[in-house]
Order: sequence, then structure tokens, then C-alpha cells
Amino acid sequence: MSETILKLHEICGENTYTRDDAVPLYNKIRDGLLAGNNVTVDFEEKEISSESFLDEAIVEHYIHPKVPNAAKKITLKNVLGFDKSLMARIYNYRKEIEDKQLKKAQKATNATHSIIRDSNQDSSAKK
Amino acid sequence: MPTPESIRGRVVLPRLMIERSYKLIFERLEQTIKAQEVILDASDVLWISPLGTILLADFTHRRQELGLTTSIIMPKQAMSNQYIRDSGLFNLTQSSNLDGAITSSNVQLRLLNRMDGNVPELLVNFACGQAEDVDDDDRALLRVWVTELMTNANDHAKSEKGFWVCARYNPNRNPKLNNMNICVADSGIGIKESLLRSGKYGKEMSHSQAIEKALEEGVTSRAGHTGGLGLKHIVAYVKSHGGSLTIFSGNACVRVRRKRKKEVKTIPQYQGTIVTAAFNIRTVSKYSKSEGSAESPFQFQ
Repeated sequence: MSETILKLHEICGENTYTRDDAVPLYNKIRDGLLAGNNVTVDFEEKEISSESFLDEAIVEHYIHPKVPNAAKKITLKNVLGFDKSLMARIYNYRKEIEDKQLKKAQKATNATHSIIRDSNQDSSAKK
Repeated sequence: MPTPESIRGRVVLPRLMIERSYKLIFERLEQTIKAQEVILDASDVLWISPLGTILLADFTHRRQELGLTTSIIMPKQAMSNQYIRDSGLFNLTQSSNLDGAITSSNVQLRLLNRMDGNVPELLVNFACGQAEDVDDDDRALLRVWVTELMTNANDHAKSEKGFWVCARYNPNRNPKLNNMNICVADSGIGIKESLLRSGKYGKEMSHSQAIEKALEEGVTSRAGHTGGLGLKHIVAYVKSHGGSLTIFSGNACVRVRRKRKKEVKTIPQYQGTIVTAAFNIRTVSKYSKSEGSAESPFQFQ
């Protein structure tokens, strides 16, 4: 397995704030993973402090991975301490929300199934 | 034939140009928006918040785009007089550019066409410069949410004109009172339209419902995604500093404060979104300490 090395500054320049700024980095990571490579992103100790950028460029790959075991194939290098904890905070927050939404959807599906089951039992009893 | 009112207008500004006077300021300004010449009479003004500054700046700027002139009668009170000069408002009424410098008690008004990473840094340096000791975590969190407010304005507003940013420090004697006020305003599509366009939150909602929705966990206008930390976390930070967050969008205004019920008001229709945060920069936040050590799946090297 070969390795894709991405340098933040080469891809995004100084623009590391908005979701639009994050798209080129997101795409490069995705392309590397889809090519079957391990991907290393070198932040070069640049302070990001932008939730939008980190969410869109990095965390999204862990929430909706494009390949199996994506988390084990991505290495983040030279990330400053606060940005590490910010990424963790975004990840945990999104994961919690997605889990809640999933449970809600499952509950709704179960409720629909039980309505269908009940109505089937009703109609067979009438017969 | 044009009436004298359509040629010349005079807007007497209230003594306190703050969030509570929004309706009064807005209505007085809008009545004269198309007059050939407008004089903003600020002679009795005692205090102008960043929101008041932005409302005046936006009014003057819109008139400049229409080729109309606006002048200002400066406040009699020395502090407000100095603020209008320092904030860049006076320059705007003189048709000169905003240079966006920083002065002792404010970050000068800026109109940004796109996100500028230097501005959050400037705002944070300014805010932390007013406090005695702000730890690294708190400083970094402040930078995150200021950046977030600005990227929201940049990403969601879909405004060609860009967005305004302004901050002011109130050196009041009571150390418990809120002393830092930051305002970000855009003239884009507003929160309601942004949520409706996403197709995720129904086909109809009022402006106040849209603002309240935006304050909920995980709400975003991005298609197929869950939300990021967003406004909810900005509110958490501001509340942990004893402050409040006020959002104006469309014809609604929602204010959230620590230990108080959410206030919802109807206001004159504003094209876009204004967010103002008032907080005490000297308070040590408990927010950063309680959320800093999250587990994660990331491999760092």
C-alpha cells in the first residue's frame, strides 16, 4: 500500500477558515483513500481554530468514511494541541447527533412495522 | 415634483444606540434611505454599541451605492464623539475607505467581502488585551467562535456585499457587567430562507421559528450533513461568561441569556442576519475546562 502525503499549505494556502476553503483538502484525502493509499496530512503546525474548516476537511472522513477503516488509513501530522481537541469535540458532537438521529429513525421504523403488523392481524381476525 | 422630505432628511439618533433601540434606529433610518441628503444627528448620543455602529454604517454604505450623501452631526459627549471617529463611522460619512485599524476601546468597523483570517485574530487579541489574564484554552475558544460567526456569515448569507464586523469594549466600573460586545452582520438571505432552501426543515416557518431552530443541536442548512458545533456552542461560551447572544433575522429577534428564558420579539424586517454577543471577558470560562478532553478516533503524529 503506498502513501499519499498532503501538505496543508500547498493545498489550501492561507485559506483555512470556511467550508469552501476545506473542499480541496477533503477531495485530496478522499482521492488518496479511494486509490487504496494511506493518507498523511501535514498541518505544518498551522493554527486552524476553525470548526467549519476542520469539520468539512477532516472530521467528515470519520463520520461518513468513503472506504472501510478510513480512520486507520489517515494520519494527521503536526497538528497543534488546541486543534486536536477541537477536532475531537466536533467528532464527538456529530457522532452523538448522528446516533440520536439513527435511534429516532429506528424507533419510527419499528412503530411503522408494528402498525402494519397490527393491521395485518386485524384483517386476518376478521377473515 | 419631489417633496422637501425626499430631498433632505434628518435622523435624530437615540441617546443609547444599543440592541434595545434597534426598532427605533432602524425605522428612523429606513424612512430616509432614499432622500438626496441625510444628516445623522448624533448630538445627544451617549453610547453606541457595535450593532448601532453597523446599522449606521450599512445605512451610509447603501446610500453611497445609490449616489446619495450622508453627513453626521457629532455627539456632544466626548467619549461618543471619539468613538465615532475611532470606529471608522466618521470616515464612512466622509466617503473615505474603512481602514480597519484597532484603537484603545474598539475594533474598527470592517466590511469584508470574504472571510479574512486576520480579523478573528485581531478581535481575540483586542478582547484578551482588555482582560487581566485569559488562559490559552479560553483564548483559543474565543477565536473558534468568532471565526465561526464570521464563516457562518460568509458561507450561509449568500450576500454579494459581504458582511460587517465590529467590536467594542465598555470600560464600566462594575467588574460583573458585560464589557465586551462583538457584532457580525450580513445582508444575505437570512436564517429562515437558508433553512428552507436546505429542504430539511419543512416548507414553512416563521423567522422566529427559524432562529430558534438554528439554535438547536445539530441543525444545519448543509444538505445530507449533520451540523457542526454551530450557534449552540457559541451560546454556551457566551453564557459561561455571563453574557447574552442576540440574533436578528427577517422580522424576528431572539435573545438568549444565562439563567433567563429565551426572549423572542418581532422587529422591522431586516434583510439578512445580525448576531451580537455581549459577555464579560474578565470572567473565567468553565466551558473550555468541561469540554476539552474528548476522546477521538484520530491518529496524530
